[in-house]
Amino acid sequence: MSVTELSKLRDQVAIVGVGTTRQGTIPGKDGNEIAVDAFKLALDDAGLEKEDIDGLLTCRSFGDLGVDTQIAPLIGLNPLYSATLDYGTCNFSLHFAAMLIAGGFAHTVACMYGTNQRSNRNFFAGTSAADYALAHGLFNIAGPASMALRRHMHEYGTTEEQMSAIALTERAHARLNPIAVMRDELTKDDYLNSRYIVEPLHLFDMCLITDGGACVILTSAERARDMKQPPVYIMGMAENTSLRNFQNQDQLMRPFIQKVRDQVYPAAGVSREDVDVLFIQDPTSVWVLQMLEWYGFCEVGEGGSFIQDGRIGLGGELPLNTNGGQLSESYMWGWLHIPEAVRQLRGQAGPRQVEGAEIAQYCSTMAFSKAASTIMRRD
Amino acid sequence: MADYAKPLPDVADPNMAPYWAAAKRHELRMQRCPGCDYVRFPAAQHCPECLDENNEWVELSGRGTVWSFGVYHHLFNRAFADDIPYNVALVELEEGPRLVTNIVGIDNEAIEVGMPVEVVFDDVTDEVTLVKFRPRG
Repeated sequence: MSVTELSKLRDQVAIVGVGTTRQGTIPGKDGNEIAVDAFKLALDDAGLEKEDIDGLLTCRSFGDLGVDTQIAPLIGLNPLYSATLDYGTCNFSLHFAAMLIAGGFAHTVACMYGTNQRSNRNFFAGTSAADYALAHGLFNIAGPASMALRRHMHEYGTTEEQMSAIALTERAHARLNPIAVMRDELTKDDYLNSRYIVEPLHLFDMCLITDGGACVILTSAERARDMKQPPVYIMGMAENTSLRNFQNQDQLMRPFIQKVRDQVYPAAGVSREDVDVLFIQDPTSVWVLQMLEWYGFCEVGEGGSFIQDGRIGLGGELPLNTNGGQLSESYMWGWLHIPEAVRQLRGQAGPRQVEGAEIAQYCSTMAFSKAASTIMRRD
Repeated sequence: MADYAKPLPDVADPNMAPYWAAAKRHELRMQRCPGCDYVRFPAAQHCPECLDENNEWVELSGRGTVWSFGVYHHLFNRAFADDIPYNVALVELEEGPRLVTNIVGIDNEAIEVGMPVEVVFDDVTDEVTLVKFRPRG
């Protein structure tokens, strides 16, 4: 895939509606019902009726839910096109939606996710580790993430104190976000004195486990111009995979993410210096460290020092995860970063608003096997 | 051994059975592709490099280095309650593959990235032997 081909989609598709439900604990509803709530909120945000939606992309969620054939009956729709993605982060769904719209399979696509994994006590103890790894006690993404961080510390001298900047920055942002679950003040001492989950990863390096839902509605740039909200245009999209997974010797450090970097900026026709507000999917803080480096915001190995001195906070040079991210806002498998990016670009982020934000970027991964990035701009 | 409560691998898995049978004999064996010499793990029908379906179960040196490790303080599985804090390491074998394992015979605080290690076999049940590593002097 050449960059020229990817850039054909530049500014052809826009996000016209976003919906985010209450986050935290939502007793009495299953994941699909919460996804429907998010869909209603996104329709209202976009000023659309449900009949305007002719493409449906759902996302697998806890308890074998989130399947298109389960959700379409709940919203009473027979869309032209539908599919279910087995992996989250919204980025992959967003790219799929853009392909559907550009290819003429659907005009207006709703992407959605909902989960009740907190109420149903999903502790992510199993992970997808093979039985020979579980036998040695490798549970939860915290295991491989801790090994990646320790290796980074070994190679580059990164410290726990440096790492605290990610959790502290996200918490400071969450305190300005009314839907964020964790809004108490967090200090560096709190971080350093917190228990380890898997050493060297502290409690505050780990995402929350929460109920909630999110929905994003996209349509063609042409249709978007007449809608209720100012459109947010998709400037550039790129993906890459590392599907050989454990057979890739550098699996845990994830250098394949560089290949997304090499495509996404040329696809969008901008450089990373043009990004006003950055979003990185953060099941653990290690993902933030790695992606800042692989996308070239700093040199590989320099992430630890790069994130210091307020650089990634509101008012800093590169505001990151202004919603509070998954460490402090809510864990929605990366589905809340795009809605926040859209609100920033519309100027609707309230006390979290990045002044004059014109371009936002979102970077996400599916564990060690897929990576995606989207660059968006305001009208 | 009868009360061993931790998760156990499926030693009857058609591809992995020879690996577990070798471990039970206290041998570390993996499949080497006769076509391209690639040593693959986990065991698989085809060589992922050249797609050759043949293989030989060769005995490995049992030597490697600690690529990285984490120390579990949070209890994800009750069967590990008495082990907390316990380490899980990724050991890079001399022959190439990396193996998720535990480092034994050393305090967690003393383990280091890059440390040379050698294989040891832990007969956790009558049927299952796990492949672990200890510091190599």
